[in-house]
Amino acid sequence: MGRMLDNLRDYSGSGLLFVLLLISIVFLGFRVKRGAVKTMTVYLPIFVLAVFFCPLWGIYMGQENDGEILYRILWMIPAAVIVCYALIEAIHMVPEKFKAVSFVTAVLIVIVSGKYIYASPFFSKAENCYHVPQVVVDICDDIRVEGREVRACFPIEHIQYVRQYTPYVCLSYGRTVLLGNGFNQYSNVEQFLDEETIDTAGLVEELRRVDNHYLILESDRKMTEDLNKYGYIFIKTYDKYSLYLDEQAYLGTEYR
Amino acid sequence: MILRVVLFIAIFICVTAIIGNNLKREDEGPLMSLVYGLIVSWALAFAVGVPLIIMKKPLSLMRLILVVLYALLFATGVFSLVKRKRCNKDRGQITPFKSSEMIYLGLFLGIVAFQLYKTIFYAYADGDDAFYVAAARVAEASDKMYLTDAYLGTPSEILYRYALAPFPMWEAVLAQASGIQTTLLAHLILPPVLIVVTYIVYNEIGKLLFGVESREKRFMFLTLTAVFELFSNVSTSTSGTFLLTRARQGKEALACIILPLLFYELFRLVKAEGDITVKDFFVLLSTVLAASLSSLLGNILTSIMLAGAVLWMIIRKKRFKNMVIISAPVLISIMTVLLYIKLR
Repeated sequence: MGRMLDNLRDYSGSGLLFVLLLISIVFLGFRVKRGAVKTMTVYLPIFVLAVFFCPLWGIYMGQENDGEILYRILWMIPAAVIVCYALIEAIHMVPEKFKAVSFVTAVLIVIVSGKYIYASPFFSKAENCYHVPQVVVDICDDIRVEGREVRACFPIEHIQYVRQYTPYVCLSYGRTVLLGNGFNQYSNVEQFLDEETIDTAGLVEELRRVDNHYLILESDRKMTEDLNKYGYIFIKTYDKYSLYLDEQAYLGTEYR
Repeated sequence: MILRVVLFIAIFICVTAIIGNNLKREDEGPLMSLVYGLIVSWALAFAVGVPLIIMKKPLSLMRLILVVLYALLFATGVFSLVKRKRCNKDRGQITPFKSSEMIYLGLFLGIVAFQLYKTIFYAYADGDDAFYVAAARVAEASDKMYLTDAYLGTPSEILYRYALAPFPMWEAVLAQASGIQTTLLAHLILPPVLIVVTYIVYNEIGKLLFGVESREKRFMFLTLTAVFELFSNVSTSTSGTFLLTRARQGKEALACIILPLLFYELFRLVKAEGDITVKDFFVLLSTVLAASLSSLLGNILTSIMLAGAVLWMIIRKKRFKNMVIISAPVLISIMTVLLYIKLR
């Protein structure tokens, strides 16, 4: 039950929309006469809530490691439909001359209970039609070799975009490092990048172990030694990032 | 490129709507054709895609089979459209809109237009795209399905948790067929279409709630739902947040189109006192298959909803035969889950 409550907290979040949904179900329970509308707007949500709080989910959570996604059971209640239907019913309970005012009040209730989606910091003006940072597009276009794949090490803020844009650029570490689920078995590159001052020798050794060709770092990134000393040649600067190529890397198209 | 994108959108919407025309019922609005077209194409993508993925067949084979099936359904859709046009020559005129109806409709369309503007011109950084969009992009370029680690690019065993819900492969098929890169398709073209489709479903639910004639109430309702979605970011888990931030992932399709459509279908079923027509059955079947394509959990959620419908039919003492018909699509969901348990 405790983990289902965690799921409920994840779903209902910081606003009052879930409370509004519960109030709407209760209101419609009293307001709507028996029939199809009541079945769908009152009984079905109650059925879904009963399923959500069913103790049997505990067995699932005990066996699977993704119990945190069970909030999705609540998607079976079309919250927007139920709440807005209840609000429309409430609006039509007040006299006709106050309809416009009550509609505005209903809109305000939703606004106050919720949270504006476009205020999210994850939204930004699209830099191109791919909705991928332009610097990623530019670097990927420049390092791509026709007829083969190349491997690159990008800063962590860009790893989620690279392979969305091109599958011809492979990564020396991927998004699994952010998920913390123990699936990051490919390389330890990210551990070196995580340090305030990067251990150049250690990073280069790890990059070579996974056949990495290119390294992209913030230009002002502190390192114990110059990358050039270890055979990584500076190629070009992109905005605040520098691109390096491992001079030992083979970028031909013939199999060796 | 712009011309190709515009052409693709026009063809995609027309073909999808005509395919969906096969399932549209007489009492539904014409826009529902688009909804059913999408649902049918997702259902077929699941039915064709999953066996091919398990057999490690190339994406191009899935594309070929789907194109043939879509072409067949397109032909039958054209036929049913022509037939319907002939039968409905003397259709009644639409009553002129009252000023209050115009105001609420205008408000609703304005809010939706704003949402579409934000969807097209603003990027949302969602980490899950690193898997779903990349998996589709890899398949589009390599012609292999789920045989490469989407995050890294290294060869990989099939992860059945994802491979049994191959929504990204449907996107990859569209990309291969159109020549438009998956990234562009997933971030720029599909989101506006999927958002509009959600509101089409809400509109039909509105008709069931208020009656077809009560347009003012319905438009008020739609305006409120658009505001509701706009302010649904109380957490990253609400269906509204998924609608306006992730309208390119299977989970979004499940939360914002498939489950609301299933709600609508069950609403119709309850209104019809449990009677079910052949078209109703195929809509239910397609919806369940589409849910399977979108997410592994979709199998469980659709089964629970249909179980709820059967429970209602038992309580209301409806015909046993209809209960069996309604339950039948769930077999596919159960088989998918069992397959996952066996293969993982």
